[in-house]
Amino acid sequence: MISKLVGALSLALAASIASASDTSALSLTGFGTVGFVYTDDGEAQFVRWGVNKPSDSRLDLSPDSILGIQASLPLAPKVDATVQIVSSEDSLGSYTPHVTWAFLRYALTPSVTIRGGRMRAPFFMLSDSLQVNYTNVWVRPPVDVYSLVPVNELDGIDLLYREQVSGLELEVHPYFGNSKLDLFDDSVVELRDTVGLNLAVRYDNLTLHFGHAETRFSYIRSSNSSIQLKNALIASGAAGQALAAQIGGEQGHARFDSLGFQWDDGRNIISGEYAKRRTNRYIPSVEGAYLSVGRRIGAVTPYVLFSKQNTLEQTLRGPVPTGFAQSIGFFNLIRDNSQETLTLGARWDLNRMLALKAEWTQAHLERASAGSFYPTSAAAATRIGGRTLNTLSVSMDVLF
Amino acid sequence: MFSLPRTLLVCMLFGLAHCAQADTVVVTGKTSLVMTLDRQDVERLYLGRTAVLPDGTPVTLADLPPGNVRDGFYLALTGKNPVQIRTYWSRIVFTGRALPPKEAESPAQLRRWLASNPNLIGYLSDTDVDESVRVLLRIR
Repeated sequence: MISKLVGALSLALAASIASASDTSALSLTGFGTVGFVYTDDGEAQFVRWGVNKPSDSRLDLSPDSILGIQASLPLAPKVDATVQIVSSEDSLGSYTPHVTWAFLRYALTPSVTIRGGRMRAPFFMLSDSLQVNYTNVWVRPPVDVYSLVPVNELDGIDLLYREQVSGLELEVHPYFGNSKLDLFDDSVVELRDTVGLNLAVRYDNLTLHFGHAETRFSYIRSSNSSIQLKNALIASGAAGQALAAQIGGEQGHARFDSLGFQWDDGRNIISGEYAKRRTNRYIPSVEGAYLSVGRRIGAVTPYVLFSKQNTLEQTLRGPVPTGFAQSIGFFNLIRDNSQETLTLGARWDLNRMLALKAEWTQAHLERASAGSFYPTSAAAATRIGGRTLNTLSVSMDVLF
Repeated sequence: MFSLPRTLLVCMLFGLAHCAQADTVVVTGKTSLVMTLDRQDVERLYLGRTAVLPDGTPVTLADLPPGNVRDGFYLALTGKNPVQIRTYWSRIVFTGRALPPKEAESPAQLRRWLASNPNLIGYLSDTDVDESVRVLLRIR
């Protein structure tokens, strides 16, 4: 229902923007990244879960390359409309542009704005500008936190309350809506009735972020391997049936919490964040964190980033029936992304529009984990756990 | 510890042109309903935190083209250097928090816009001010 409304709204907004008589009021902006990632292991390929489809070559353009165009138009005093269209490789390998934003905004008071339509799903500190790599010092936001919710869009409403109290700047951001995401392994995730609240407090150079959200979700897996495992488990007895019910379905519930800070004094850029995803089934319960330190030296900003992801509960939880240890172990393993990474990189601001970035990441995968990598074969999946993998990423970001 | 004033530090980092500069003034058109603005209002507007004045009047903002006057204005008002302000604003715009200021090609074009748009606010170098605009605030 909401999707249909948003679809209609986005068409109406696009039409009104296209036919705007006063084109001088139209604001058009855009962002883009061209980037490649090289993985130094023949059995694994770097992947951003939920973002791109892993490539079968060692050099992959798909994780970071993106183009977005955004148009905004004031419709009346205090009312404006914004549409954003983005083309990037999705989990199905398609670059078909799609509408990532289509919202109407109304300034209720000088401090309160209300938005309705399709917006960015704002689960964590940087989620709001996740695809605009120019706004970050790194090639991409740290995967060990941002893979926890790869969902980009929220169809719903939100409210932004911004107030300044004796040098402290406060932002209160409650939101409500639904989201949908297709994944490359033939599964579809839908978040329903998501309710969340973000708080940001800024004082001078320091910003603190707190976020909490809860959602119902469905996770439908239609790959042959998932269906076969599910059927075999159901046939095996009561313990197997309990596990089968965790492979996919409509009964998911998830909670997201995050806590972060950013410091930018013009020279030093320091940031860190901790995020946790708690689920009752279908996907693992996971926590992730990062700490990053960068220093601007003229137009060049070298940085160091440390990040870690840890699995708290596996996807399939509970007693394993006889004969299923291997298949269930494998099912859990390829959905386990726990790893520890160290990244060294630099950003070079070529001018006001372009930033060139290069970073090297060393990832230590947990023993039964695929980390942020996709194994090139089922046999490879059982071997890459515990490995140390290196990736080199080079990208160019543009704003226009 | 010896510490340089922030503006001087940025002068050294981004070139001396920022240091020897006339004052910047915040302006609106002569027919505008906006009569006064304090420094905090201007800072809130040019950091995208609001698009509405405390009395409820919605306003739109104009920028000068990239250059010394613009860089000096933001630095004096917000303490942010050109790269910081560019990153800051791109985050504001691409998180859907606010519309970006409309960029004029020249001070002359900005003055023409101000004359025809009653709720437009902009800034000019002291030396570009003429009788067609109303000066609201001086930024040092």
